[in-house]
Amino acid sequence: MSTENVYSIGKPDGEIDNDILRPVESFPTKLWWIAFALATTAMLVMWGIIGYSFKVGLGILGINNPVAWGFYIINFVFWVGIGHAGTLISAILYLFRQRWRTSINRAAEAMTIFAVMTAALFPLIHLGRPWMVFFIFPYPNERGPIWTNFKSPLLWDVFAIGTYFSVSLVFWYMGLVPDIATMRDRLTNMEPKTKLGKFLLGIKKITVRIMAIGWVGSAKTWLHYEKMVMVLAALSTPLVLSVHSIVSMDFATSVIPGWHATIFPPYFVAGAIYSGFAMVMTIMIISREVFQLKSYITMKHLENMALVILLTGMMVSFAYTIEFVVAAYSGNGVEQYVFKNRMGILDHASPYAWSFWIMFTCNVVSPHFMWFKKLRTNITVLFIISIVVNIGMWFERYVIVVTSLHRDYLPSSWDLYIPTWADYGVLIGAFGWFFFWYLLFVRALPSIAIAEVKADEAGDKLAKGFGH
Amino acid sequence: MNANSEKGNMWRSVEAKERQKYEVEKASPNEFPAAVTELIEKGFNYSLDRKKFLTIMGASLSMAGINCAKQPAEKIVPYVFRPPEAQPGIPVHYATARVNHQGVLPILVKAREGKPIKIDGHDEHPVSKGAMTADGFAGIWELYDPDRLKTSAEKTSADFSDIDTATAIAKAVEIVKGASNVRVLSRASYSPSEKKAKSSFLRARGSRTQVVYDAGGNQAQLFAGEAKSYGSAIIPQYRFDKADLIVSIGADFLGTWITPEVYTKQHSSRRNPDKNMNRLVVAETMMSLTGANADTRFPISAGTHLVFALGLAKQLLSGSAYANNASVKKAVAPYTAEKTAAITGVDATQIKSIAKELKKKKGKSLVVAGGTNTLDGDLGSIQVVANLINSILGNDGKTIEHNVPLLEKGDFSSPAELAKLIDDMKNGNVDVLILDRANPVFDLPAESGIREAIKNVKNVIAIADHKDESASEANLVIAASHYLESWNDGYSSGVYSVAQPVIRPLFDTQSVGEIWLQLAGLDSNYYNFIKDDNAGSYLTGSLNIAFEKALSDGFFVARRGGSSSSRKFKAGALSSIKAPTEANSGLTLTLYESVQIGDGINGNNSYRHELPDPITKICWENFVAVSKADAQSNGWRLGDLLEVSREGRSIKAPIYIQPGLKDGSVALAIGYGHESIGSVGDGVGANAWTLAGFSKNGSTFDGLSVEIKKVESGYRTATTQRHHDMHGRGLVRHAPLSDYKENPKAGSIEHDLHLPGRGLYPVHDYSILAEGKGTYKWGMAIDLSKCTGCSACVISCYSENNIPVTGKDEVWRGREMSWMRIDRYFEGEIENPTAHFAPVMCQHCENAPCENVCPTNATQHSPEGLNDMAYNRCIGTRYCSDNCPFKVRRFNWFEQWEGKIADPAQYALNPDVTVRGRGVIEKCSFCVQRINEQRQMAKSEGRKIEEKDLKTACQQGCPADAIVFGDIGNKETMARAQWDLERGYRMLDEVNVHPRVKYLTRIINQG
Amino acid sequence: MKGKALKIGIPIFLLGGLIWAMMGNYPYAQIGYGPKQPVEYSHKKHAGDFNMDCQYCHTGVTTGKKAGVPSINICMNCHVSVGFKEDMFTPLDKLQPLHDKWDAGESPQWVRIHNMPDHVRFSHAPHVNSLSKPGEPTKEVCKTCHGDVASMEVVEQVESLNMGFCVSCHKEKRETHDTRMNCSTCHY
Repeated sequence: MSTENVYSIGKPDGEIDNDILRPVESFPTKLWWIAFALATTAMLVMWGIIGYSFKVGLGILGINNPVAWGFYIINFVFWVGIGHAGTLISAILYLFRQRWRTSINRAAEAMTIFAVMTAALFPLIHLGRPWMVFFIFPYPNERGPIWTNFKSPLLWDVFAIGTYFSVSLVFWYMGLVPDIATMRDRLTNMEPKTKLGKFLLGIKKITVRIMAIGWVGSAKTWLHYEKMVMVLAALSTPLVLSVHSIVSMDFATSVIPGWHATIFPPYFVAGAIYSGFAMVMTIMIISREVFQLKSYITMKHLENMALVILLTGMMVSFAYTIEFVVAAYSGNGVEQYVFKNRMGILDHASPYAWSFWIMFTCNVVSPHFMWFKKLRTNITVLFIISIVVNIGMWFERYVIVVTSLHRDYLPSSWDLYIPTWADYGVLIGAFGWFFFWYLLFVRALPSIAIAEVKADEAGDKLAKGFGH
Repeated sequence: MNANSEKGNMWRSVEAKERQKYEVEKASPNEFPAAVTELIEKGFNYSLDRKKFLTIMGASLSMAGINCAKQPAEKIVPYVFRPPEAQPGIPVHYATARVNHQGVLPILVKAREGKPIKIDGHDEHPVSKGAMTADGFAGIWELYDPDRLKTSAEKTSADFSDIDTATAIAKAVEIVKGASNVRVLSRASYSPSEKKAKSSFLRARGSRTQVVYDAGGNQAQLFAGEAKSYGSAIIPQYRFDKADLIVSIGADFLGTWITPEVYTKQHSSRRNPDKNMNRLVVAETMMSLTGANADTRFPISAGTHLVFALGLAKQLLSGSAYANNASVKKAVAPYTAEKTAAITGVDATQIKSIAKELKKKKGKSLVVAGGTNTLDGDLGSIQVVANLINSILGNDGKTIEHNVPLLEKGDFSSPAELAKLIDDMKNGNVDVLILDRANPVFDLPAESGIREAIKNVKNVIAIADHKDESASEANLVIAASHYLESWNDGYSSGVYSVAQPVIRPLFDTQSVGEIWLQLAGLDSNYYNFIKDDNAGSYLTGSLNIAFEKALSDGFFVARRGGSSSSRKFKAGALSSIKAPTEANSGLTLTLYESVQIGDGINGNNSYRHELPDPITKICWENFVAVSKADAQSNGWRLGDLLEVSREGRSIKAPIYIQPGLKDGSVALAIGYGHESIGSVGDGVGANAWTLAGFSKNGSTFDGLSVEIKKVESGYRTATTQRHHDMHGRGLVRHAPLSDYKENPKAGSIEHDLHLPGRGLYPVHDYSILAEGKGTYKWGMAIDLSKCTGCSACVISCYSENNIPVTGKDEVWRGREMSWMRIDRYFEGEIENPTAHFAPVMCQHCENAPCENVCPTNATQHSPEGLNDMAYNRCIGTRYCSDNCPFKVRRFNWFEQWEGKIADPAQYALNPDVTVRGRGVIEKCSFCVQRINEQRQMAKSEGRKIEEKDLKTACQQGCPADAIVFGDIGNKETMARAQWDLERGYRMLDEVNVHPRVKYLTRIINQG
Repeated sequence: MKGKALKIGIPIFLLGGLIWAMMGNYPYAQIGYGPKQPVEYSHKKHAGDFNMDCQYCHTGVTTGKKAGVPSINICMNCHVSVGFKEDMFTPLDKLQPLHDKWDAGESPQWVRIHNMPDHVRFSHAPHVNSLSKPGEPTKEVCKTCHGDVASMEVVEQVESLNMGFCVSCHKEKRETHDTRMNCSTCHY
């Protein structure tokens, strides 16, 4: 095989800096402003609704008895899922020395952070009495003391998500330090014209200097740095698997037919990575177009991600099948009813069959286009599929939460779930909130790990130098 | 409540009562905080304050932590003199009675700090034995109804202006004095004193002055029928407990007919499959509560109840004493089994078989007929036939006792007199019309033209508690008190009841007796009038002593009844009977009374509206019940709004597809569709009286031919149960008696149970508390053979546990708050299905799924097996609700009390139960407040709780004695005995949750 | 040096504050709460010097949920004849308000001191009855929660009466007094 590396960019370091730092150092484009305005409005709408529900109560949502969980929990699971690809790419692929990760890991990690931030909103705002949320944390108190219920998966969620978020944050920031140092050094050769410009630059200089925590880039620092990254990677690897396993236990440990399934943890993790990669794909395609980073995020990168999507997609499909097989095999009438009801193959109407079939088409059928090289190297196709997959994954959670709850054990208590304007508002607002942060990120920080790219380049040069 | 010291807490004497009144005034300048010792400064909204605390407790406390603020200062205002029986925090029970147009309902009222908070049945009463209906429990909210008349009013020019009641009465006296033609239109009264006071007013003006009518028609029909067939207008004692075979033709005696609570108790006492179980056969149009509980039910076409009765009579006639009676022969002649079958839609063979069964049970059977839904325009006709049948079978005097009747001297006027009065009004021949708690504009058939007629009356004086449809037509409205505010007496079943006020009038109102005394110009107060002028004729012995006893007991048995000789049936009565001879074509309407609203006189009670109809589970509405076939052939679907019209009058109501309704028959409930009764009742449902027929022979509620057309679709009907099929899950188990005789486990469905303790977590260890140290094992057994689904328990629960009403929209969303609901499933073919009922409340599972998933430990298992719910620890994740297989947990989606509850409604709240704020889960607690009250008492007296002292609200409310609660760890208790029965099963036991509620399989006696 | 002090001092201070709040010291804000009452009634004099039994006034303590603040007629049992100036007619100044109220047929509005949140249920009777030993004056039992009222001129709260306070007692008396620990013992 040739030593010529498909990922090599073949540009001098300075140019790499220029390319990657362009969006950070130049003024925002019109396009960015539009996107940012949209995101912010959506976000504000969401906060408005949340504020209102704090004031008058959760009654403004469509949830009821028996369907006491609705869009909020669906969104929660969805966004936690999204938050998976990042750490997977930066930690696991790092450990496996997958070189193609270098140009996407930064963005993916950022996405993780923001996705988890979005997800973490929902458990809080879906509470009946959010102002009493401190009851959920185990701390010494004067009430006896009474402790939280360590049997409750919701409590495990609090720990799992907390850990995942903090570790991811540290990992991401550590990765950023050398690049921030680069930014710091490049700021010196900038002279603004206006007074305001000077002032702002001053602030920027200070912040960047603080954030760079005195990085000098000496061999020693690099040594420590590499070690530390390795350790963090090792730390966060198990988390990738743990978080969504625990989220899945919210359902798996219950007695409700359709939730009560042992397959859930692996199934959810696969699903999470599936949707996570889809999201990364979407974002990558956009940013490489907008910020002319084609030479950094090549077709090859996208193709690899497409393959991961195909793989996880099939894992998810397998999990679905298992669910049905288990239901059929269990001989448990109630369980079987729930799955018939999902598919809509009953003698009477099953009001949510459509959601199942949407999920099925999006998650089970669509990834199989990735078998064909022609398709998986076609940007448009990839873009569409990446979005379709995420729609499908959202509906997967819809199917699990709503269709399982709306018809459980006693037919007398069966009822419908009809979302209200508030539900939809928050659903959209959540995306606004996510992109609000992401858009700020691409303007403020390098969305590709400069240092790592350079390192790889250097490696290539050496390989060329001695190779035959 | 403190059952064993009830009597001790009742008043010993009037003086005691009077003294306490005095203290009440002294205790505080305000009228309400009668004897409130712990009186919170800001307003008297004791309960509101509690609730506010609940909502912001944690927050405010932690605030306190930050700024070291003190809790809001509260004031304590003790008595000046404390009456010995009034101890703060300890309820006082008053034995009294609800005396109204329905009859006499003996009740026991629980009062805390001088305010009545709960109405219960009077267990010691010889006839009712503590039986109650949903209707009875609902009374408490009518007392505290914010829309009640707060003072009298006078119509000057166009609109009303308030005047105080004393002046109003004075004015009335003036008006009456001057007038020449004074007429009184009123509802029936069963209070001797009221009648006497009234009669002395009427005496001066001739006997025809007063017209008494019956909106629902049940009683008037019965009185008329009895008069026709036996010569005396009484309501005899129907002894359902003495009958082995009961045949009901349209009479909904378990739901709405005459005294359903008593009949339910009697009937259920015979629903024990291990003893001599009775059999109930029902022929009716709209499925009523009685029909739903029938062992065999015959759906018959609307307007053919009389035909069915005649057909049955014909079958029984041969070989009886009346076999050769000409007029009897003539009357039944046309109705051969085949003919009857053709008209009613029942198989001829079925009629014959029922007749055969009846013949076997001569003197041990009972045939009842009648009710609103059978009024065919000839008042009492169906009664006559029913009486004929009973006389033929020799039931009269055995299962029908007439020597001490339930209700005597029915003072109903004949329909002709009513028609005459309306004519006089039309022609302006009436100067003054006094409406005595009557609302004819609302509850007389529109056909009578009362609406127009009343406008031609110069002076209309209304004695009313709401400014209802009729009162708003009046020139003078005199505000009448609630029965819990007024002295009264009642006489029924030979028992004389003294009704005492439990609280001084909340507003400027007077008791009806008082008002009539003044109108009659008698110078006496009503209390003395009752005691001195009336009580004497019922009580024996020294009046003072006897009266005091009657007062503290709540009743005095004046005459004891029992079986007696049979009466002579006047066959002549049959001659006038005209029954249809052809099956009716097209859509035929029957109007019926609903369990929750009745004849609509209390239409402003939100709890009545929130209570789902026992059969259809629809609330906040009446609806057009049609058969599936009709719906399909006309292209109607659920969610359509239909317009029902008859002779130019029409109303709109949503459709409901009713199983067990004959094709071509349509049913609609009366009592809905108020226009002006209050903020709750106005515009709820449609007024079915618009469609009823009216003639001088009687109103027509049954067999009205109507046109129906769809006017709108996508209409939202609020219902608490959308799915009626059990999907073979064995939730409500049932078996025919024959099977049960062979196998006591009949009807049970075997599941491969997980072994107990095969869960992730260990089973609960109840030995935390040392043995014999007051440890209890609380459990409940519900006998589905007895349960009729009457929903009395549900309302009793609402009242005991401060459960909020949510309103139509929220119920539509599936957010009703009822802690216990009655599941109703249909089985069998839709033409004539079997209905099954099961009360479902929190099952207090041993392996409760809710307990494991609550992150904050807000719901935990108690060492006595209760599933505790600590509201103030709940943060509202609703995970427990999701994970509850029974879906009995309720979430407070909105603030239900603060700002929602209008003064004085908050006084109906039970101070022993925390009022839940927004954002917390609530659920049935097995009335833990009662358990704790008893435990605290037992503990301070160093004993164990005795079973008789402790009843849950639902158990206490159940007229059928289907619910038994108690310590199932103790072998002596009744609860344990029921718990151990082989019929028992636990709902969803296959999920291994191990409920602490056992259901006893419903046994059906198919004869 | 100064910088160092801040660097270390501030976090320590914050941490300390946090722990203090966490340990739930806040209900102690109620301790020592002894507001001025409409009538200057001295428990020290009555319960202490005269050694009257608590139950003479607080009649409900062994029979009911609430101990009950006495109705004025109980005060008047004695004060129709005692607590007057030399002239035997005009009451002592501090008793004047009581007499005024009595003549007006009203009762004084006492300020509540021991005040449980409304979702907590406490019934006096079972506690007092099961804790009191034969032959011992009631106040020995009352002390447990109300402190030595007999020595207080103006009554004030001495115990936090927070959940921990109740629970600790219920915990240790579990075996001896068969006390409950589950939620619905106090919250329902």
